[in-house]
Amino acid sequence: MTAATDPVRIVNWRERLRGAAVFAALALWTMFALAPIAWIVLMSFKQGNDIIAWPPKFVDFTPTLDNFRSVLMLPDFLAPFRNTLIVTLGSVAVSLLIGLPAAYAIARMRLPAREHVAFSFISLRFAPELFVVLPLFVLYRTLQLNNTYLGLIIAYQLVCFPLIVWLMRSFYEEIPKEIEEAVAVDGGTIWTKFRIATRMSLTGILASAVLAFIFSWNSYALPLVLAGKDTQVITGAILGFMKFADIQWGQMAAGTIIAILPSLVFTALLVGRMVDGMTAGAVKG
Amino acid sequence: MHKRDFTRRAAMKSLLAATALAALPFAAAHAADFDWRQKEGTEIHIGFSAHSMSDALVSMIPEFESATGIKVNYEIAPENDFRVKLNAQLAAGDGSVDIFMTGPSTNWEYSAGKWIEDLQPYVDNPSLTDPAWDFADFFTNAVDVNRWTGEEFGGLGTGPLYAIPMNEEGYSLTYRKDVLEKEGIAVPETVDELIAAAQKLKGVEFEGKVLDGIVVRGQEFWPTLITGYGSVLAAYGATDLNADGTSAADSPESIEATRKWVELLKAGPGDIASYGWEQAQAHFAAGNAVFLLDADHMAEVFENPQKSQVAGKVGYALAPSGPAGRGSGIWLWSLGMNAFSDNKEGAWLFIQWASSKAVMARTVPYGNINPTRRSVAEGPEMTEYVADWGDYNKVWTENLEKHAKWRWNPSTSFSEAGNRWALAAQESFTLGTDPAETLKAAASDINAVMERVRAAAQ
Amino acid sequence: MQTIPKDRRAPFWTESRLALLFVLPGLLLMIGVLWPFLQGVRWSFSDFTLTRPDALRFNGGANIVAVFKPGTPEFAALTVTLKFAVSCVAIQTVAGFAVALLLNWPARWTKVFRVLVIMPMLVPPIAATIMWKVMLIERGVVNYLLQAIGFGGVNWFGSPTMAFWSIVLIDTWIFTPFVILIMLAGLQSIPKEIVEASHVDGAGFLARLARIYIPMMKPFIVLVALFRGIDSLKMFDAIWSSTKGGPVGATKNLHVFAYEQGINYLNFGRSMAALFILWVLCYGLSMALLSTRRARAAQ
Repeated sequence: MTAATDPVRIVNWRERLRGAAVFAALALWTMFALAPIAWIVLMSFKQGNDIIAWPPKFVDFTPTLDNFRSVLMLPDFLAPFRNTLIVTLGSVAVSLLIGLPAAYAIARMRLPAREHVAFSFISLRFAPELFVVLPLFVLYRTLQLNNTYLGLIIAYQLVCFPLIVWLMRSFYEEIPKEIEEAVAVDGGTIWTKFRIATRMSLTGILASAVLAFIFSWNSYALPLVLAGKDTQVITGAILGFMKFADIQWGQMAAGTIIAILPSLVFTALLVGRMVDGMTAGAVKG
Repeated sequence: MHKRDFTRRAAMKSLLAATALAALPFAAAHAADFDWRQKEGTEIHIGFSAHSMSDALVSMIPEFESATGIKVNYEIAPENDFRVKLNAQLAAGDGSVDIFMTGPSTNWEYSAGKWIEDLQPYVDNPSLTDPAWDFADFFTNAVDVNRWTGEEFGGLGTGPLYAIPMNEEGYSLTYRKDVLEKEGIAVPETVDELIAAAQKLKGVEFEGKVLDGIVVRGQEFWPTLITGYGSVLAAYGATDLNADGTSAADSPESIEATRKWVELLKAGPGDIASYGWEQAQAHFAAGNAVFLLDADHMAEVFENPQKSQVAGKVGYALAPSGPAGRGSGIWLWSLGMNAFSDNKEGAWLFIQWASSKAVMARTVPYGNINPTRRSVAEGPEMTEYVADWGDYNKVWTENLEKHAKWRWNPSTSFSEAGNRWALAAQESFTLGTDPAETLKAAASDINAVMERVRAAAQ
Repeated sequence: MQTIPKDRRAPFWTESRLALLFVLPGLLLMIGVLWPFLQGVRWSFSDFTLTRPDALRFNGGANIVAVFKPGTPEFAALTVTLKFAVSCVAIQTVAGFAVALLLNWPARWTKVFRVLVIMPMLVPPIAATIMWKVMLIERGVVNYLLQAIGFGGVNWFGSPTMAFWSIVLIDTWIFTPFVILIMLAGLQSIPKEIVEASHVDGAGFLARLARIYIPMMKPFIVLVALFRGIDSLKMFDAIWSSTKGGPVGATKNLHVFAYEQGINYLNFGRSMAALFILWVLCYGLSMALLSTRRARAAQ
């Protein structure tokens, strides 16, 4: 066998070609994903008349920091930013706290009426916001939960909780039963099994937490009605730049960019840690 | 890029602020008769819609607070969605918002639910209203649109006064002076002339750009009905109701006017059917169209070099006329009071203050135009603000005095009926169906809505 | 006398009881939502205008029936709702799965792409839609670029058909990352040994796809279809911020219709009826997708 027909070298060459194709395809998709964001970034540095210009201006405009300056200086922006941070982190934490055990119970424990319970949880997501938000407003009035962080965190569970439960259910179910049996044999309790299962599903937890964070952060309809002056969130603040007689596109763009940052940080931290093949060493039957 | 306008406005604001104490009603000679501090120690809560008026008032709130001793809380929400929250609160009998921004059609909806307070008793009450406030100074048109007896399809202009108007919007023709000059076209006077000019100019090349003839709102919602389209309908004598109370959407005048309207739409950009006021305004401000038939005060954006490419190149004229003369709709942003409020006097003091001569004048540089008081309309702030805008002041005041009317019978079903009519116009354009057909279907649907409302009112 | 030693008595916290405890908070949430939900159902079977709440009259479900009667605006909204859901789920599931497969490629540079690809989902949908609307106007940046590479401009929001697809485009742009994220996590939970074994066996990519990836990803595919299905049935922000249901009602789905009826016209009976049907659609979709689970559970 000559070197030219060495099977190992041929495989490498094919692999590299495939790798290049994968890279190209990903690059194309990423351009689609990022181009609009790049445009919004450009918008945030433009003045009003440059934003509406036709033909659109890519580089021949005078950049300005005014948009960012006025957004950051607005008391009506920093407070919502802080509020959204509190409510979102709170909602994610709460939904993980009540969602992980629920998911595990559905996935791996002897839960009576398992499928019915699971289904009822997903049905929380069926409700179109409008269907519940107005009666909920009335309910919150009685309970004095309007314009409170707690009220919003509870309401946000409508969004986060089904997500966490159903996602984590799938991940918990992926864990090989042999591992659980091994723990039982070693005299472990349910809690031990739960802890180990949770540790093994870290990928899933990170993914679920990221999604719960993003959906809560971006929520618009719920806080519109249930939040008040003290708890106004970022989505409402961004929309506030749409005034009746004039839309401040530049500031809206700047506000959007700033609003993306926490989600970006959260995601980068967690997605970066999604480790390949977490069930190392285990063989699925 | 001239910063002149920008700094001039800033200078005006600070000048006015400096003379505020002297100008404010509190310091007027009559102050001894009128007690601005009668609700001292109380609180009020205001629900603002995002608008330059709100910005102006918000910046002046500290003065109000120190002069009256009333604490003011407020929220500002984007226009559309402000209504969701407000409706939820009003429906729940929530008195936590004392004052909110409202307009003619929302007044009617709120009054049907008895959610909005009649302000006439407050105006007439000498212990609550300073005579220097001068109710007669308001344009009559502007005030009367806020009155309604509550009778479905009747009684506009009389009856309880539901809100105090803070600014007015009329609809007229805005055009590019430079383009018309270069192409040698006169400013159109009639609808047919406008159509001819717009069609001729569609596709014209000007300074390296291809222009559209005209831009207007094309969306299928009632704001379209009362603005540009409304002016064309009025020019042909179309009304909303026949003598027998049925819908006149399919009257011969309406059909003819709608045919003309479709011709105008064809001279506009291809996606005009999706245009609301934002798109129409941005389109003209970017220099993409020769004519705009919509709100006169959009001039505020057009004449600002930081927001538009056409500053200084814009001319203003009344809406084009037709066989029935000229017409324009009207819209007013006003301040109304929650009927469930637990501090109505305090709320009234704020409304009175905000709509007083001095304060209204000071909101003008923020872009709160057109002012609803004669004294402010003719006053120095307004004159100064629109100094470079050519005929602007002349046009809008003439429009308000002679042509601007609310041309639709008041009803709680107005937005539903209005949307249905506007949809017919859009269908005629988008689907190419003849207006006779689309309007007939609309009239039938509107009649059904009116039936339902009349039945429920009994 | 002999007493049973402590560790031999039956424990109070049996597995079933413990499981119930685990799901208790969730069940409380369910009960909390129940009252507003039932209120909504009551309204959907009545004539109810918000301004005259005492005139609430049970109307035998006339509004509900209207949703299924061809020719009514409700029926048109129902059609639009279904069209949106089918288009969005199909496109996003396939695209998301494909991109996840690409991102699963064993190379270090995929990590960068992973973060970049998630970015569209970070933008609040309501802001994203407003920005897209600006980009898609006739004289907007997208048409400009299309014209620059030789295509004509597209009448994105002006034509009924294109307005529909523009919204599908926006929804796809925002939410495909959701699909990608879940699919990727799912792909990475497939034990490496199985994939390596197939390599050793000489299987090609397509074989791997058919015999390993798709079968093992089934629960995740169902999950994705479930969540995207429900969300696209309920789609609101993207439509309201761009077309508000137009032109000529081509993008008016049940949720938008309900908003208009309820918030703008204060016609709550009609609004809630449409929303109730929407709720039923979500219910139906979930039942259909989860039927495989139920079958397995019944064994």
